[in-house]
Amino acid sequence: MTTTLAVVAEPDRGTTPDPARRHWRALVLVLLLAAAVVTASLLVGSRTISPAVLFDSSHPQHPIALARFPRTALALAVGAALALSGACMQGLTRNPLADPGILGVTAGASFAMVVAISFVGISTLTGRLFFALLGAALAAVLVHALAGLGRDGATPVKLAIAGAALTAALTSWTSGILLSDRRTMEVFRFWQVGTVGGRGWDVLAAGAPFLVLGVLLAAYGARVLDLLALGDDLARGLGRRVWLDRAVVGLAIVLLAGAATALAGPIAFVGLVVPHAVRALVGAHHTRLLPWSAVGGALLVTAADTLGRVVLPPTEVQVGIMTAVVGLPFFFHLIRRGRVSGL
Amino acid sequence: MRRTTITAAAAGLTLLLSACSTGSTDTAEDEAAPVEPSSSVDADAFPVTVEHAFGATEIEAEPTRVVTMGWSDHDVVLSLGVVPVGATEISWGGNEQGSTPWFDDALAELDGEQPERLSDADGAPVDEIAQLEPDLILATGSGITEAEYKKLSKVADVVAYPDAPWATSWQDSLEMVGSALGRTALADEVRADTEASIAEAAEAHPEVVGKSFVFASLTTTDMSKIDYYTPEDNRPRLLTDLGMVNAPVIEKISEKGAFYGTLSAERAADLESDVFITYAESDKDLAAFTKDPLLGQIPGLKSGHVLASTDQTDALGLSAPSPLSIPYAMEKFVPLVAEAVQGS
Repeated sequence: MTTTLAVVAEPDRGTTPDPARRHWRALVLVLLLAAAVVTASLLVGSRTISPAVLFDSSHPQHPIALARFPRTALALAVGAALALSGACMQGLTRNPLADPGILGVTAGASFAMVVAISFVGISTLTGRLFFALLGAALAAVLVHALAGLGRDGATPVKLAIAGAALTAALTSWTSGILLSDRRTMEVFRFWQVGTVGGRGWDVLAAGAPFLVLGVLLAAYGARVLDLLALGDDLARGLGRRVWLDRAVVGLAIVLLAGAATALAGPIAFVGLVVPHAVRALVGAHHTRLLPWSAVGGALLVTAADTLGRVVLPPTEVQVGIMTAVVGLPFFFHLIRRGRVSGL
Repeated sequence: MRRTTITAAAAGLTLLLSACSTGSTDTAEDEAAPVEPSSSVDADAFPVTVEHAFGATEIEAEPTRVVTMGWSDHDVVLSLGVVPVGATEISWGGNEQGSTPWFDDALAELDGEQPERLSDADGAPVDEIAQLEPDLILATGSGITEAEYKKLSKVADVVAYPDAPWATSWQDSLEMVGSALGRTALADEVRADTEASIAEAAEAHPEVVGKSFVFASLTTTDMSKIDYYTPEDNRPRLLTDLGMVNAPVIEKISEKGAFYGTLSAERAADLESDVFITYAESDKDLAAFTKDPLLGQIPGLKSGHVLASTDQTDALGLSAPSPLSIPYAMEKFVPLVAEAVQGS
């Protein structure tokens, strides 16, 4: 963890010892880890099943396996999207506290969805997705505008405070709508805590186009974020159109965080914790940081969801609670160490 | 707009279904409906002391301005011939006036005026209640907190629930309200009439007697869990009054003091019962539940012994049972349960 913070505070770009070999070892390790996590997610739960059940459609427990395939896929997708979005956010804002959950993006998506259901009467999943993305975008812009007020501009702490303030406001408005409209509340109970359970392939399919587009834009972003990190003037001097690059990365953040929130509800801290951990392992270059963050996020959310199924039988603990249990102490740790001056 | 259509369609369907299965239920309505007008105060009724979860409240004289809180106390008060001046707005399953059909019917018979309907969405509306200048606040079936009780006590005498919030049986409510209004004799009569309406429903539908049930609240937005009502909830209580029994698995997993519990959908197959009852948002929901790989394993769903109740008003009659709503629920809901028991 100390390494993480040292890297955060003084990005030591390009001097990681023998990056190729480290990369290779990490790849093997991660592949093993991924196999373990996915297997556990398919087999372990409120009812633990044997591997034979997975492909035996006549087995009485086969329906459980049928539900766990899309559940695992959704956990992987949502986790990857959130972590990728967090890594892009941290790079773009040079703010170690950046996370879609902390900077108000998730709350914006939630609020917009509840408004869409309650007032606009949107019932299709795709319709809700558009509203979620719109809400995410507006919240992101608003937080940056708020934090940008004053002389020293959008500092990390000001961004986090603006994000927290907007999140608080949006969350209470969301609760207000839910309280006054019990029907929307019935439909949207899961908006208070994110979960990947109980959704089929159709839900993932509806979100997939947005996630894929987000990943493509983030891939473009991976190459420009390192240049942007040099400062706007230098990046401009190197021939970048800074505003365009920023807009593309911003759009990637909104697509990834908005779609993930639309699919699973608010899941915080994944976008914060994962990039920091990954940075400690592979360094701060965004071309490495972003893909590995996606992998790490996918594994973290899937593992957290699996754990949530067994900690409190016969019920399940939603993944949104599980990630908060892990993420909140880490968030305080980052703040307490005072290493929040920038990336 | 869309919502209204669905609700209207669901209501229409329910009416249609109940219209097909009338018969002996008519008599139940006739007997339970007429309520004796006032006059029925017991001799030496006051002062009376009523004990409840937050202490004992002494009521010195016959209350004239009664405000009720919760979803059923206004029914209980009205069944004893007293029209409350204020009552909780029924936001779920209620009509445009924040009232219910059974309350409005009884009100019309008494030629009474609709009470001021107060929203409890933001906790007890203490200021609005104070403006009504009540001399008694009845909250026997409510969920008020001790802090709210103390605030309300400064406005008027308050009778809260006997043990736990939102968990009072209609019998206990009726007994407490009967004492507080000095109408214990009438309360006994109302209780007998109400029990008779349940007995008649059981007689009209002998196929439900002795059958086991699971009463759940499934939702299409999170099909990874099953919320079920424990035997301590009013819904299962009313069905057991009818002669049905809680499914053994529910008896086993229910926790003491909780009115509902949650089960992972992966354990759906454990919910063995003769009939499975759930709330649903619309008629399409039942198809979604049945199609879901996990929820579809619920034995009642799988075998077609299922009732997905889409009518919120019917559902409310069961979830907030009272001497007024029970005859209604017996007439509208029990035939649907009977149909589900026989399977489709």
